[in-house]
Parts: sequence; C-alpha cells; structure tokens
Amino acid sequence: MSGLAFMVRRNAPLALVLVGLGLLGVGLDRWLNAYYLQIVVLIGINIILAVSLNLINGITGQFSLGHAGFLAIGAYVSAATTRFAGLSSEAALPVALLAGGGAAAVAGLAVGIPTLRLRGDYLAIATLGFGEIIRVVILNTEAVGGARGMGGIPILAGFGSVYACAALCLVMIWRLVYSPRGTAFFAIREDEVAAAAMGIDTTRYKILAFTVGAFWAGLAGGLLAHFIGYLHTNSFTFLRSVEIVVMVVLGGLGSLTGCALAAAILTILPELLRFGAEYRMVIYSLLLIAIMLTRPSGLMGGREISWRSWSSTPAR
Amino acid sequence: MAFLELDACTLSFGGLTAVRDVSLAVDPGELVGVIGPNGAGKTTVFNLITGVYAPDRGTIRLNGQRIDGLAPHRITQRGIARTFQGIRLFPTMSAFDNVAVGYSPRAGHLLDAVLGTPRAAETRSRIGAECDALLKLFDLTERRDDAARTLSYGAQRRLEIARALATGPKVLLLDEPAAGTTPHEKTELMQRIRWLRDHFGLGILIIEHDMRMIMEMCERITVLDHGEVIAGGAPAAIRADARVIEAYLGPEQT
Repeated sequence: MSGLAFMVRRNAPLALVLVGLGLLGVGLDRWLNAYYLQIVVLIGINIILAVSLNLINGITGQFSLGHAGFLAIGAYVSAATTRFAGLSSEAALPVALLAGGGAAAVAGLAVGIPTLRLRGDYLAIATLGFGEIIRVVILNTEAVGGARGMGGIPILAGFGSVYACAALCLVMIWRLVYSPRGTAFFAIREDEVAAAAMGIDTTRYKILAFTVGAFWAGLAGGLLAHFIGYLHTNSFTFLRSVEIVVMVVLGGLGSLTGCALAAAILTILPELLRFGAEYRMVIYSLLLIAIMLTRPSGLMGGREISWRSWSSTPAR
Repeated sequence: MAFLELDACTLSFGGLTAVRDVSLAVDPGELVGVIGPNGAGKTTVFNLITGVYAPDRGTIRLNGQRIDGLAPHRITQRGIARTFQGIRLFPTMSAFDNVAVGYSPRAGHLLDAVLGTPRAAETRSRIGAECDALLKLFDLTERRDDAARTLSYGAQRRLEIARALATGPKVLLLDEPAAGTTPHEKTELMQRIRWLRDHFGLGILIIEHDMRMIMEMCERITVLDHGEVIAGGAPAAIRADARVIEAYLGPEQT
C-alpha cells in the first residue's frame, strides 16, 4: 500500500466526521433555537480551550493562567482580519481563524521562551501577568474599539465550523501526545530532570506545548468573535483563564477526553441552574467542590475515553 | 584513550570543592566501580558526566569528543545513560511508557504522528516491540501497564535500568542500583549487570555501597574521599590500600 493511500485510509474517519459535523451545522444553525445554539456552540469553543490548555497544564505540567490572553489575541486579530479587510463571505473564516491562531501562537512562543524557565507557582503568576497585559493593551487600543468593545464583526462561524475545529484540535493533540515521541510531554510533567536524562530536550517540548496550545486558544477566539459578532475585553479577564483551568482540573489533568467532557458540563451547568436565580453561582461552586471531593483527580483521572481501551495508555 | 574519559575535573559550589582533579576512564565491556564514604562526591561525578553540572576545570571526552558543558539531553543522545540514586521514574506513567520515553528522541517526527503517515505507524509498532522486549528482559512484562509508582522497590530499580537502556547507551551509569533491595534481588541484579555488559558490550560505571558486590563485579575500582581520588585499581589492591581503609574506618589509633 502506498504511503498516500495509507494516510487517506487513516484519516478517512476524521474527514467523515468533519463533513458530518458540517452538514449537521447547516441544519442546526438554521433550525435550532438561538439560545440552545449559543450554548452548544460555546461548549464547542470551550472544548477547544480546555483541550489546548490541557496540553500545557495537564500533559506537559506547565501551570499556565494565561489562556484567556491567547484567546483574546486570537479573537481580536481574526476579527480585525475580516472586518478591516471587508471580508464577509464564509470562505474568509478559515483565513481569519488561521490569522488569529497564528498570532496567538507567535505570542505563545514569545511568552514561552522567557517564562518557561520558571516553574510551578512562578510560571502561573508570570502567565497571569501576561494575560492581563494583553487585556489592558487591547482595552487601550482605539483601533479595535478600546473600552467600547469591537462590533460589526461578520457572523461567519456556527455549529459546523466550531465542532469541526474542536474535532481537529482533539485529534491533533491526541496524536501529538499519544505518539511514541509524544511520551516526552508526559515525562516532562512527571520529572523534568529524569526526562532530560532520557535525552529529551525539555525546553523545546515545553515551548512546543505552549505554542500549539496558544494556537488553538487563538483559533477558538476567532470562532468566538465570528459567532457572537462583538468583542469586549471583559470576556477575557483572569477569571476566564481560571474557568478553563477548572475544566482541565475537573476533567482530569492529562485527560483530553475528560476535559472535553468537563467543558461541556461546566458550560451547561450554569444554564441548568438558572432556576436558582441569585444563588446560581453558589450552587455551581458547591457542585464543583462536591465533584472534587468525590473525584479528587478529576472526572477521568489521567484516563481517556477511548474506543481502543480503557487505560492510561490508550493509543500506544 | 579510553572511550569515556574524565581528565582532572574540578567542580566547586561557592567555597566548597565538591570534586577535585578527578580522572576516570571507562571502556566498552568494562565494569568500573566508584566507591567512597558518604559525601565523597560520587554522585557529583555522575552529574558531571551526564551534564547536570559542567566542570570548572578539566575535560570529559566520549569517544574522543568533548562532552563537558553539553546539556544533559545531548549527552544522553550521544550514548551515556544513567539511573538515579533515589529512584526517579515517571511515577504515574505505566512501566511500558517509562521505557518508551527512552526511545522518544529517536521516535520519528511529531508531524508524522499528527498526519498519520505510514512511517508513524511503523515507528509505533517497532518501538512498541522493543519496549516489550526490554520489559521482558527485566521481568516486568506482567507489570507492563501498571503505573511505575505501584511497582515494588526492586521492580522500580529494574525498570529504571530498563528505561536507561532504552536510550541506546554505550556507557551506563548506575547510581547505587542495589540500595534497598533484598539479598536475593541483589544477586539477581549482579547477574543482570554482568549480562548487560557482556551482551551489549556496555561500559558500566557503578556507584555502590555494598562492598561485596563491588569487589566481586568490578575489574577496576576508583575510590573517592572528600572529592578526590585517593586510590584506583583492581579490587584486591583497593582492599589492601591503607588510605582506603583510613577513609572508611578513620586513622589507626596508637
């Protein structure tokens, strides 16, 4: 069998899923009640954010609190791409998403190189500072609306594009870390000194994780911008980063499918709790505490939901 | 010139000279022991060889090429692997994955894995088979999918050596491989180390406190005390060396 035929066969299921999601999206975008559609789409965006942060926090073990910063860069850069270039056809979406993801990846690289010498709490604080800097810089940039926010972004994203991206993100990061070479990411989380003694260039992998994670966060930002049509820096505060961290921790550090599940649960939960009115977030917090007490290593621990096996080493 | 050669290496931490003018040589197929009282600088010598520290003075050569000052991962890639004094496995990863990490730097390109190329599939099955073979060699097949931290102490020691071998070394550094193991495990370990040397033609440098083990196994022994080499040679000569006895037991009382 030729190499190309092998790749086509290997990637055919993914392609089918993407096409299926696209077709489903055509229907859902038109017929689903706007409120439900928004929740469903936000779940998809949160899945991308949680899975990409899991690569950095859960798998490589580099505690980052700057994911909202990458999300913001991606959102604003991709929104600027379509708005200022006057692009409003759906074909412009991939370009805008890649611009947003690319800008965030460059930022990830720029932040990663100096800060990844830091460990644990120190890295968390440095990335938190980075996220806030991004937010404040955008807040003071008149060209993208400053404190008024940025409106008039063409609505180009919907269920299909969001879930196709989520599927691509999950598959890409899955293949990356559950490959023979990708074991290095987990090894760095477990013991950096031992990982280096195994011949692993730890700095390179950390920067790679940071860059890939930032890319997908930026891409999620692009989807968000082109789904909502309006951006304001209030959506990208430190609390947004914490929200994503909670998804990763709740799903199980290092479990890609677990954090995707957690992203869905944590997006739906506040909506389900609307009956509680002003006590909504109190109940939400109590539920979080209850989950963490009963499942201290997250919903899935380090395991994955996989059709192959139910083990810590699913795809190897 | 020996395959791995330390020439007059010195390393100080502030005012403390941890290692002074230490020279050491290991050739393929050789078992060399490093002994000395606690704090003599044995592990520091290992840390110098593996690039954790760079020597202040002196050179380290592997196969004629300078390796002092290189980053640890580069030195491992050139063919020096080690185990750690206090076991440093990847605790929540399976035994299999611990070994697989050793192959990681030679496990193809990440892009192949992401794109799902035939090369990635070939690499996966080849490395999987090699990992399983190494686990079998160290009697760990049954614990293949168990997290490393759940293994018994002896099994963890074995896994650490298996993992080091996975990096494809020419020289293996073992830092107290018998510490905390049972007498039975110790005998088995000695056989295994000899077998590795003979089978893979490895040069093995071993730090150990168990004198019986060192004396029985090693062709040459280097004795360190206060960061300096105080004796070197065949086990019989070391056993009779007055300075070695003094380092271990203190000066003779008159």
